[in-house]
Amino acid sequence: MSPVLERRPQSSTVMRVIAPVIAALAATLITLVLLALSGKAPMEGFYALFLAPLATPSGWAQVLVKSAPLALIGAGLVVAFRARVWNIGAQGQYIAGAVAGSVLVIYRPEITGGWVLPVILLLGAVGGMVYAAVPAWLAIRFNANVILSTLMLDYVALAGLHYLTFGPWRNPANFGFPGSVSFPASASLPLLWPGTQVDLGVLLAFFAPLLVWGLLRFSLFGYQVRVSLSEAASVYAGFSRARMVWQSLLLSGGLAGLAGILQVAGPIGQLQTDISSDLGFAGIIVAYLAQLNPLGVMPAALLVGLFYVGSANAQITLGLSAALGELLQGILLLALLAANVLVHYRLRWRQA
Amino acid sequence: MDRGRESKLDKQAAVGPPRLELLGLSKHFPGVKANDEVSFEIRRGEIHALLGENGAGKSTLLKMIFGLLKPDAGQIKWEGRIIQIGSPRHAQSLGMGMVQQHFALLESLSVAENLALTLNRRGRFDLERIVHQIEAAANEYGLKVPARRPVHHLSVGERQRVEILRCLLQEEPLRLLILDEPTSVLTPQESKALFAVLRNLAADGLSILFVSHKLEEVRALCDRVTVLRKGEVVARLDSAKEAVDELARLMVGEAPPPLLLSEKRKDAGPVRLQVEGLNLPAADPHGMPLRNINLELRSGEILGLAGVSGNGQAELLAALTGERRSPTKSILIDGLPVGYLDVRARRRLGLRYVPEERVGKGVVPELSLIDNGLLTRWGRFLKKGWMRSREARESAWRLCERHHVRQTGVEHPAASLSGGNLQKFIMGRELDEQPTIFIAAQPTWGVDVASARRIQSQLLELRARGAALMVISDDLEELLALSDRIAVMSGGRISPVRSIDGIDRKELGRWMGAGREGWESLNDVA
Repeated sequence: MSPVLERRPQSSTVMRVIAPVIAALAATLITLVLLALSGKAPMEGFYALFLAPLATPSGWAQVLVKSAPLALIGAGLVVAFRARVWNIGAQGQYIAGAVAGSVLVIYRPEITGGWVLPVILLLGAVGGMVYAAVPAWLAIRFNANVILSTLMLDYVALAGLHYLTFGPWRNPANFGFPGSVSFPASASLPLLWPGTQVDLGVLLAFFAPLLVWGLLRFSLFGYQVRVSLSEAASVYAGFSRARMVWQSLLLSGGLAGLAGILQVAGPIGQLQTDISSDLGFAGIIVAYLAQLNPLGVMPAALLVGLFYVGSANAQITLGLSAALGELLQGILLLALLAANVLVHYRLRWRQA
Repeated sequence: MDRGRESKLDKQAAVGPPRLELLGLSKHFPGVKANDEVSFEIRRGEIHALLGENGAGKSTLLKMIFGLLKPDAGQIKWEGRIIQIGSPRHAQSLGMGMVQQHFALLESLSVAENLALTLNRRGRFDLERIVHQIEAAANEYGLKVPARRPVHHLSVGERQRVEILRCLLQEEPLRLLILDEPTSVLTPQESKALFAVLRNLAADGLSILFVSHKLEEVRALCDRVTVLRKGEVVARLDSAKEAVDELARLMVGEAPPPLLLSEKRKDAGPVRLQVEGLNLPAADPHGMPLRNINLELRSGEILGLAGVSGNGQAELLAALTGERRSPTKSILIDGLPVGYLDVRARRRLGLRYVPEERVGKGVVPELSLIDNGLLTRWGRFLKKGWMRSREARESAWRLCERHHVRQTGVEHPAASLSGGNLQKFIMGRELDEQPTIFIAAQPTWGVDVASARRIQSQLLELRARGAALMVISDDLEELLALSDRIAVMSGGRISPVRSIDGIDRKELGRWMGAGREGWESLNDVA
């Protein structure tokens, strides 16, 4: 008896849902084996990674806070990837959003009024869009590869953030530590759950996948995204590829930018050098874990958020390496790619 | 390894057990009975026709024979022994070879390199040996192919010969050659040449399973016929000499609806679409530049565009439809220069078209029939940027109903439609929009007889309503039946346009093969 893969006549919808679950279980198992191999107690590790964060309300709150930007970024990337626009520059767009949204606070720290917060959020989204417009323009004007241009612009954004937080935007009252002035109350997101960091931004973020779902399902734009599956058919339908590249980059960039300013005006409270911009890459994993379905983004974001909180927890309680979180994400993505084979193929046993 | 060519073919006469015997093969897919107790046998040295419409279950049957699908019930006997064919590799090791409808050749590699990929699995990579084998085989079977030329330079007929060679040269001596719709891509001359080769091979003892829905060629070539309809064998004929009508009746169930023969219009109406001195460079390295194209489409007539694929038809279609822009005044619709207009704008002027590539262009296979029903008319279902999904669903149902598209539900992906139903769906979608100029590329390619007749009747109906039509086809018979005037494309140029009355087929065939030397000396008679 030997296993063979047999192509399914039609791809399996059930498997599309189950594959991410299989992948998450497999990634967990592999991580535990790695823990055992490195001489740690695997069950303790399992508890610290996955159960401890969910054992307390404050743990839940942490997971929600960490998942929120992932849901926003992931929802935007679902659209871009469905349109076959490979935007892997969510990190740069996230930073651009955080920076653009901070401008008002940096130069007018004393401002107050109900209009301030909406304007700041809008600036953040526009910042992400403008930053995503660069690779869009390069792609349309010069046929530049979107993967490369978005990736390289990530590093430009990171360098820019370092410059600002160490240089012109550094708070002089900070005793030489990098970082801007703290956001005043009028420019900060109101808390929804007192005693935690769960604020209005979390609520906003979890609405994004639903809105994107509606957009993809019912709008002309969504129809164009679906038809993008085949370039020849898009041409036949009379859709402009340039427009699709622009729209999907602006949408995903805008959502990543919004995620950036929501972090700065929320849990972090100031523009600083470390604003968890690696969330931009984790958003890619979220989008794929959601099988590029907007409705899958929320559970996927919660899972990856749990991995973040869990690995931070394991680092504190068990002294495990900080790299554990990234390791977990990497294994998860690989396991997902493997599990997704089952969407199009089924396993059969055959006599040798 | 250096076996003589002679030993490759089994030269025994038709004695002993049949080469392949199918005993009650059945295969069910969810909702479909693809094959139901199919039994027949193929003898040694016989050319056996498997005749059936698209969707009759021919492809499923071939896949089971070639080890790509496992039968639900029934058995396969190979040279008298019951066997289970687990994979194509296994089928090949028994001595089977299959040439699929769509070739599996790498365009940028040479013929020899392509064959080396499958023939040189073990041992040192030795291209010279392959080249030598190709030349030897070419002489022996009359299968002439240039061994060192890259595949993208080859005509479709040559590519097919490469595929047949690949089967003949395989490690295990070839005993059964399966050809799936082999003539659908050939010129009449090429088909004739292919038949001569096949007869030679059969005379050498090779069994050939010839899968087709073209009645004439089955009659001309094959010894015996098995007719498949809706997954069942409806007839086994010991001679293919039945009348064509009888074969058609067996295949379709009832006599195919006769082609609506309307009076050929002697005086066509005003010019709707005009092309003047159109030159267009090739879009990609394998493309064909258009050179000085002049033609006009008149209201109430069908212009047939003949020619072997790859001679500029695709480029001309792209230029006419707006997929590629051209100098403004090189294309006129109703006198209006439209060279700069895009697909949508020209569609609004009444020009609609059906592309040659149905899957991946005519429809997006992964999307539902609802979505695909909107592909070229989404503007009608739009309300302030949102799609009216209920109307879209209803319109998809109506489209399928009106054009007899057999489907299992409009929310299912377009990939679930069979070839003929898919084309009826695409044609119906375009025709329902009442085009005034209509261009169809390969409208009946690979489509079953009944559907093809339907589609052809629809084209004639549209002409009767006063539209200007252009049909691009490799199938000369079809063009002769439909067109009022015919032109040939070759090497990116267009021949003089001939009226259908008193047309000389030989001349058309020569133009298709030879190119412009053939027509430059002639005067335009149309």
